[in-house]
Order: sequence, then C-alpha cells, then structure tokens
Amino acid sequence: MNKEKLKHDVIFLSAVILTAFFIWFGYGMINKGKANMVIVSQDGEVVGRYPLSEEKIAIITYGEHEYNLLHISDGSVYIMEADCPDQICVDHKPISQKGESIICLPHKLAVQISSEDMRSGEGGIDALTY
Amino acid sequence: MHSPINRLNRAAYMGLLTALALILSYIEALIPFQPGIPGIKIGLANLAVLICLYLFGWKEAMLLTVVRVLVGGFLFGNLFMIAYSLSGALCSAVTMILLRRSGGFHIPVVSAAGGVMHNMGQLMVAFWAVDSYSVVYYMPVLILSGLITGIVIGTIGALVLPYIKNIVGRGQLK
Repeated sequence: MNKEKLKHDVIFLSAVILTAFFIWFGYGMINKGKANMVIVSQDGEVVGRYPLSEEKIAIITYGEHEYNLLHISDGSVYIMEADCPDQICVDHKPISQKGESIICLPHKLAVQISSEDMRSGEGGIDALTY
Repeated sequence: MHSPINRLNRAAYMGLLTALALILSYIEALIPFQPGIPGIKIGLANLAVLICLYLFGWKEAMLLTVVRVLVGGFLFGNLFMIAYSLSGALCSAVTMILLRRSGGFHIPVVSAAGGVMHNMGQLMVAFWAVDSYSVVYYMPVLILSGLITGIVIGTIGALVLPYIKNIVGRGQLK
C-alpha cells in the first residue's frame, strides 16, 4: 500500500460521504413542515393532487393502455400495481414524509409528498379517480 | 508493442472481456435484489470494464463500455434502458479513466468513484425523464450505494488483476 495514494483515497472517500450527507441534510431542511398533499406528475406536468389524509385509490394512465395504481391511506402513499417493465415503483416502500417520492421511470411518473394549501387544486385533470 | 500478432491477441482478450461483461450483466439480472429504489445495482459488469482499463487502457475501456451497454441492452432490455444505462456507464468509465490517469488512487477507490458517477449519470437521465426535482431525494442514497458497490467491485478487481496480467503476459506470442 502506497501511503500517498492511501491519503488521497481517504480524502476522496470522506468528501463523497460528506457530500451525500449534506445533500440529504439540505433536502431535509428544504422539506421541513407538515406533509398533507400528494402531488402526482408525469413528464414534469402535474396530473393529480390528493390530500394525504384521504383514503383513495387513483389510476394514473400513461399513454393508451399503461397505468399505475396509487393507494393513499393512513397518511401514506404507495403504488399498488403498475404495468411498467421494471416494477421498481411497486416495490418501493410507502412514503409519508414531506419531500419523499416514488418514481416510475418507464412511465415518467413522480409521486411526491408536499405541503400546500388544500384549496389550491382539485383532482387531476388527466387522472381517473374513483 | 503494436505488432499484428499483439493486436490479434488484444482483440481476442477484448472479445473475452466483452463476453465476461455480458455474462456478469446476466448473472446480476438473475439475482433477486430489488430494494425499490431506481438505480441501485451491484454493477458486476463494471468489473470487466475495470479489468480492461488496467489491462489495456482507456480506449479499450471506452469501447468495452459502449459495446457491453448496447449488446446487453438489446439482449436484456429496451431502448429506454439503453439510454439510461449508457449515460451511467459512460460517466463511470470517464471518471475511472481520469482517476486512473491521475495515478493518485488505489483501484477500489477508482472503482468507487466510477460507481458513484454511474448512479449520478443515471439520475441525470431520470431527472430529464420525469422532469421533477423529487429525484434529488434519491441522490444521497445513490451516492452511498455507488460508493459501497464500487469499493466491493474494485477490491475484487484489484485482487484478480495480478493473476490476469500474468496470464495475458504469458499468452502473448513472441
């Protein structure tokens, strides 16, 4: 083991770990506050807003036939079912804290928890709800 | 150094490394490891790229990266997956090439940097795809997972490399 190299190694690794920690900390600071809304966006456009307190199942369609089934209950959200190829969104743990999100890359979907004025939006335009 | 026989030799080893990368991708796909966070992978195929980089050099490593992503993508994935993994693989390869060239780091750390940049490259595509700042939420965990898997892969590479170098050296026709 080369001492000089080892020094570089340690500095580099610490810098990376610190960066990760700062991003995590910063993201937590920005997203302080009470979570009360679920914001669903597709390709950057908001397609649905739902209060977190409400019991709800929403279908978010993608293209002609594809979909993600969103389940909101007990103040947390998760994807019940989706026909995306990788199923990463379905395996994601339920989210409930502000700033947390579930992403379904194949469907360009982002489900995000936020806090905002309850009256600022109604149900989604493109999202079918029942 | 660049006699025709040496070049043939190198081509044969590049073929072997490409096959190795594809097999490692396949093995990784068989392992049921699904933490529910987009982008977390063991990155076994990176082992082949790492070995290639230290055995032959940056040109060969770049070539192997592009070939393995394209062939692997057509075999096991789709066009979107190719764009997604190509961005990660290229970021990773360039990072490892530069760090190796700097000569200031041990192999596991070079590999760790590659792992982190692989995840950051993928996150960039994810950001472009979903167009939502919520991807930042995944950044810390992706940095740390890239770091850990990169160190593991890099350690394996560092242990294996002397033996492979020995074989390649002996296999050369004089």
